[in-house]
Amino acid sequence: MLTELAWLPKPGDVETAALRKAVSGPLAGGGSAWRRLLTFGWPESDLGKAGRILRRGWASGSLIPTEGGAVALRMLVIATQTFSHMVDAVVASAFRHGVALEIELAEYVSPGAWLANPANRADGFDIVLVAADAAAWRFVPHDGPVGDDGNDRQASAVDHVVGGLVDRGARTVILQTVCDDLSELAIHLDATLPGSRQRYLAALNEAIGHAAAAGGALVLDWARMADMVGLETWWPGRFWFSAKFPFAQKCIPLYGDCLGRILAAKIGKSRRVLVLDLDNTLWSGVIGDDGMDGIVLGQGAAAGEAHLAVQRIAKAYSDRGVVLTVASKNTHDIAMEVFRNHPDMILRESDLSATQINWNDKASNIRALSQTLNLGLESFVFLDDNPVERKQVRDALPEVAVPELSADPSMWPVILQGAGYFEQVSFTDEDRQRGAYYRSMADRNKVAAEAGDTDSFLRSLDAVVDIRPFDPVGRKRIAQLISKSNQFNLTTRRYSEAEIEQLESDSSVVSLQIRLSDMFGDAGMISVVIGRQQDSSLIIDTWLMSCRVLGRRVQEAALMALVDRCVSLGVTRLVGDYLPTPRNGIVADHYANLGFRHIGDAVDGAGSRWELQLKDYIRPDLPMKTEISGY
Amino acid sequence: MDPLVTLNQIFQDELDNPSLQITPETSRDDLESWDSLAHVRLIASIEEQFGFEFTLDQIEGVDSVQKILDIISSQVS
Repeated sequence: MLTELAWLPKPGDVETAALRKAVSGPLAGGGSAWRRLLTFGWPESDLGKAGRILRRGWASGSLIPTEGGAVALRMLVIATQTFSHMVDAVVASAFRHGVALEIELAEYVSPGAWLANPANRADGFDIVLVAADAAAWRFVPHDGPVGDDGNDRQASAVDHVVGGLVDRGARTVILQTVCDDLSELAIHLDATLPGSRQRYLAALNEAIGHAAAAGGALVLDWARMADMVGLETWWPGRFWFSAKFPFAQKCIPLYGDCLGRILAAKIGKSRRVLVLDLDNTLWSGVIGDDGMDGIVLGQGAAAGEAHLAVQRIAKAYSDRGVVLTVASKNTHDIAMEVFRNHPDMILRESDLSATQINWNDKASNIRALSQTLNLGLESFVFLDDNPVERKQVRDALPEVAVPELSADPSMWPVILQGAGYFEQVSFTDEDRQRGAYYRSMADRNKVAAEAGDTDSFLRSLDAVVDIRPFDPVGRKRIAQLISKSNQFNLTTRRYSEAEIEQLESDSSVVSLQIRLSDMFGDAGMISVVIGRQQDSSLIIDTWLMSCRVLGRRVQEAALMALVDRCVSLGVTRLVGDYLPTPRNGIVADHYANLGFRHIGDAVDGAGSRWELQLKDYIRPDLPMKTEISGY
Repeated sequence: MDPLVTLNQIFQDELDNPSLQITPETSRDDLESWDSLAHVRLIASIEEQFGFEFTLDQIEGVDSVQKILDIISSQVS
């Protein structure tokens, strides 16, 4: 089930014919058509075929990698085992997630050996994937317990690799955890024996996790993938001995998809909203017909327990920062009664950030949720037991991910996890608070309706904007905003945590990290600005903001802080670029709205350039308190 | 279906050559694209299509279409 990517719909005759045809000629619709074709669950050989055609198209120029909103990334793979047999399938999988991947291979070399050659460089790559098996991290015992689990040696070996790659210019390193090898000896007693292979591998994976956390690397959890499908399925068997394949070929689609998700998360393309259907999804039965005591939920009935498990995983996602919403065909008050008063519900009204419970079609309701939350449809996942509803949403809103589900709910938590829609590259307090924040957004809208005009509404919120330069405390969240923000982002430049650290001490850089809180709660850090001083000008390199605080005039407070900083530096002019992407149209007039003047094209011709002479700046009266510190 | 027809489709797919026509006499020496990587892919694809597994010796030993056909017929009969 997991190796077949069961959450993706199976390709039908139309899709199979399209792929067959694309082998000999171009696919009508180009990159976007390929993205759509890859939303199906192709077997490994077809996936490879698709990847091969994509790579050929990109190389010859007949396909444009970034068409359809994809982001082009170059990845160096340092692989101790064979990797070339799955390059095509990995490329196709990554494209499913909006990443046009160009892969360069260093094959059959351990990371240590690769680093031993001083000529090897990692700059020029967006990503370095260390595809190393257990044997590549030396000292793994084969012959029996060695007395200790080797934590120190393992930690230093992994640190050495991460540090070494960063020294060679690696921007983002991805480490893989390791899994056991079925051909190696292990007995049950080994769990008790220090330095047994089992314990050694566990310690190694711990070291990999620590090194990644300390060095800003990402982890692709190979051991977890192997666990999910089972080691017997994962193990390459004859193809290990004959071709050094790292795992069974039928697991390639899963591996490629997992890697694709991590890459997508890295560039801010992971999903953020889970839309839940109600009847026969969160409980068994129809609340409007069966009533509170007729629906099946909770202990005592198998289906009731399975639906609880579905609620439990939705709740767990929400604790990780996934926004929970409801789209259901029901009478609103009757359905909400279950959230309020059913004793067995895990999900409560306070867990939902927004609901659309009415008799409209699901696609319209999801569109409405997207508008309420200010979040694009490409960040939505829709969970519904009804195949007709799934198809309607899939056809009307192709950006929304709609997992295929088994007929009964017992496998749904597994399918949702297998699909891994909500991968993250970091986890901060802001993530924990996100659901609460989106909930209070609805409350704010109510206050807005009562207050009438916008400014008196904003004043009624008692908001405080906190602005300070980059510092180690904010670094993780700054990196997260820079990697995730797509819509309110003037230049969409991405920087790694290491690069952000350098900015902290660069005296030619003016950096702003901006937090917002109000009577409804603390939004945390929601905006980042980076400027570089050039003589008497400050060039705004990056200006981004979380869309959930749109309309709060935070950008005006940011400009005020920028201007103050410029005055004390003797800068007389601010210059900003707008570089359009398929997703940042909402900031096309950002600089115009702030009183900047259009002075021509951005340097590389990819957008527009704007200027503000400080002598022309008019300080606005902002409906919130602005606290600027640390400059 | 004639195993050679199925095999031809597999060779076309795995060697990425839609116009390729193999005969029993075709050998690894005749096809430059039949390299070690393609070889393993061919083996895996044949196993999937015909529903049996090559032994390690066979994986290393088959170097012509005829040898593959022999193994297929010994498996099917």
